[in-house]
Amino acid sequence: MDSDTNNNALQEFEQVITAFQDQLFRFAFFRTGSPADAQDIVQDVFIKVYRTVKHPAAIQNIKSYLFKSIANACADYRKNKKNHRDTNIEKLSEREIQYQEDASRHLMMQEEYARIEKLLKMLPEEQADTIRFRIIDNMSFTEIADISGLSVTTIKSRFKYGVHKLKNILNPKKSLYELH
Amino acid sequence: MNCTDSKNEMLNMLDGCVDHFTKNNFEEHLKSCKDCSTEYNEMKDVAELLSPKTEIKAPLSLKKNVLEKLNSSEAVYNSGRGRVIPMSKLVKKILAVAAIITGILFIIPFLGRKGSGSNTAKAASVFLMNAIDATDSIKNMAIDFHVRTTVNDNFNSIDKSDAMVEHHLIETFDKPEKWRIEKSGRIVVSDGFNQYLWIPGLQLAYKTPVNADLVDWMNILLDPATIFWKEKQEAEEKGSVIIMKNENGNTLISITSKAQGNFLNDYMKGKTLPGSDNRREYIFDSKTKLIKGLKIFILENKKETLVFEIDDVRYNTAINNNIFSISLPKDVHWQTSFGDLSKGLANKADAKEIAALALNDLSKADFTAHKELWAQFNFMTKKILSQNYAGSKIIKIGEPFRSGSYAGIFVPYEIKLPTGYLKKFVLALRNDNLYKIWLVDGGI
Repeated sequence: MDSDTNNNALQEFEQVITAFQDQLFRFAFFRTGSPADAQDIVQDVFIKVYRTVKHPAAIQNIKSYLFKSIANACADYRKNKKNHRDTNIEKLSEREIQYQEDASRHLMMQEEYARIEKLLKMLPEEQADTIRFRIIDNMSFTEIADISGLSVTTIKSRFKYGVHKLKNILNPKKSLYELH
Repeated sequence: MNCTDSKNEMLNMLDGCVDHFTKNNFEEHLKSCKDCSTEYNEMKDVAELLSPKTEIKAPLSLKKNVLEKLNSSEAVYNSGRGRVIPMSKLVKKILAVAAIITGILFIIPFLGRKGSGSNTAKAASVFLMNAIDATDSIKNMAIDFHVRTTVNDNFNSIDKSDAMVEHHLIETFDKPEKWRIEKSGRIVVSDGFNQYLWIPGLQLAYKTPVNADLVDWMNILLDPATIFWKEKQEAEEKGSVIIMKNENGNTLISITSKAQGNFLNDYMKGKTLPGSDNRREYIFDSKTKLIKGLKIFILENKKETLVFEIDDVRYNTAINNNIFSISLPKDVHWQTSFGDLSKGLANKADAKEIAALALNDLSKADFTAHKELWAQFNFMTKKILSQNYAGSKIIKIGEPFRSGSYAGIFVPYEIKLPTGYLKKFVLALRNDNLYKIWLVDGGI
C-alpha cells in the first residue's frame, strides 16, 4: 500500500472513529465501570480494527463489526477482572483520578453507573446485558441478536423477563403484568 | 388488535420498528385496554429508570490517542520501506509550523461595516446588547464545535472542501483568564501568563507571550461579548440581511454579509470567512440571553456550505485546573525565539525577486544565505524541505498579486522536483512585520 493510500485510509478511518467513539465508549464504560479502562479498551479496538481492515467501507456493516469487537474486548476484560461489577465511587483508583480530564463529569458518570448497575445486579447477567444493549446502547433487538449471535426471539425474551423481574422487585406488592 | 397481538407488538413498539398501520392499531387498543396500557407504560418506566441521565461521551483524548498511534505506526511502515512522507502531509506540516507566528491570516467576519436599518435589525441590536450584559454571569464556559478545516494544521484555515473537524474550547474568566483550545494534532493552552502550543506529531512545543495569536481567529470565541458587540454594530448599520425569530424558548438571529477585501484577483475568494459571502446563525436562550449555538455558512452560487458549528455550550461547570496545563515529554523541542529579524531582506526588493531567492534556496537546500526569509521554519521543517526540494529546477515565476484580506503577497510559480514532478503552486510571502522584512509564509 503506498503512502497516499495509507493517508486516505487513515482519513476514512477517522470518520469512523468520530461516528462511533461515543457509542463504543458508553458501551465499554457500562461494562467496566471505569472511564480509564473503557477508554483503553475502545482505543485498542479502533487500532486493531484499523490494522485488520484498513478500509472500513470494505466491511458490510462496520457498526456491527465494531460492536462485536468491543463486546469481545469487554468480555476478556471481565474474565481478567472478576470483581468488575463491584466498582463504585469509593473504589476509584489513584490512576483513575489522575486520568480524569474532567473530574466532575467523571464523578457524575461513575454515580450513574453505580445507580444503574445496582438495579441490573438483581438480574441474571444475560438478562442484564440484553437490557444494557437495548436501553443504554440504544440498539434494536435485531442488532443485539446479530452481535450476540442469538435469535431475535431469545433476545426479546431475555429483555422481557429482565424488565418484568425488575418491575416486580421494585414494586413487589403490585403484580404488574403476566408474561405471555 | 387483541391483547395477544398487542403484547407481541410491545417490544417492537419500544424498538420503533412497526409500520404506521400497526402503530395506529396498537395505540387504539391501548386506549380501550387498561391491562395492556399499564403493562406498556410500566415497561417504558423501567426503560426510563435504566437510561443514563448523565451524558456519557468519549474523552477528548480518545480519538487523538488512536490517530497518534496509527499515524506513528504508518510513519514506521513507510520509513521501513524507504518511502517518502506523502507530499500533501509534508506541505501541511510545513505550512502549519510556518503559520504559527505570522498572526491572523483569516479573521472571523464580524467586522462588516454594512448593516440594516429595519425594525428587525433594531430588535436584534437590543437583544445583542442584552446578550452582552448576560455574559457577566459567565464564570467559565466549555464549547464543543466543528470547523471545516484541515486536521493536523493550525487553527486558521477554513476550507469548504475539508471535512468538519472536532474542536473543544474551555475557558475560565477568573483572573488571570485561562483557556485551552484543542483539536486533533494541536493543543493550545493559555495559563494566564503565556500561551503554549503543543504539536504531538512533530514533538514540538512553542511558548509565546500571553497575547500571541496561536489560535488565530478563534481568539474571538474566547470573548463572546466582543462577538455580540461586532454583530450589534453590524445590525445597526445598513446593508446586511438580518432575520430574528423566537422558537421554543430560543431566539434565533441570522446575519448575512457580503465578502470583504480586494478581489481584483479572486485567488482568495471563498477561501476565508471574510473573503466569502457568509451567513451567521446564532441561537440564544431567550430567557438567560446566553448563546447556545452558532452556525456559519459560506454562500456561493446560492448554495450554503456549513463551515462552523457549535455543538454544545456549557456554562459555570466544575473545571479541573489541570486542563490548563499540558504534560510534555522530557525531550521535547522548545521553540521560543525566531532569530534576529532586523537583518532580513528589506521590503525594497519586490516580491518576485524574493520568490526567486526563496525557490533558489530550496533548490540548493541552503537556508543560511537568507536565513531570516526562513525564520518561520524550524530545523525539522527545513530538513524535510531539503529532502524534497534539493535539486529542483525553477521553470517559471509568475506575476505577484494580492487577494482578499491576506496581508501578504502571492507569487505563482512552477518548479520541477527531483522526482520529475512539475509542481505548480502559489508562494505566500509577507513583510507586514515590525522590521518590514520578507518572510516565506506558505505555499510550498
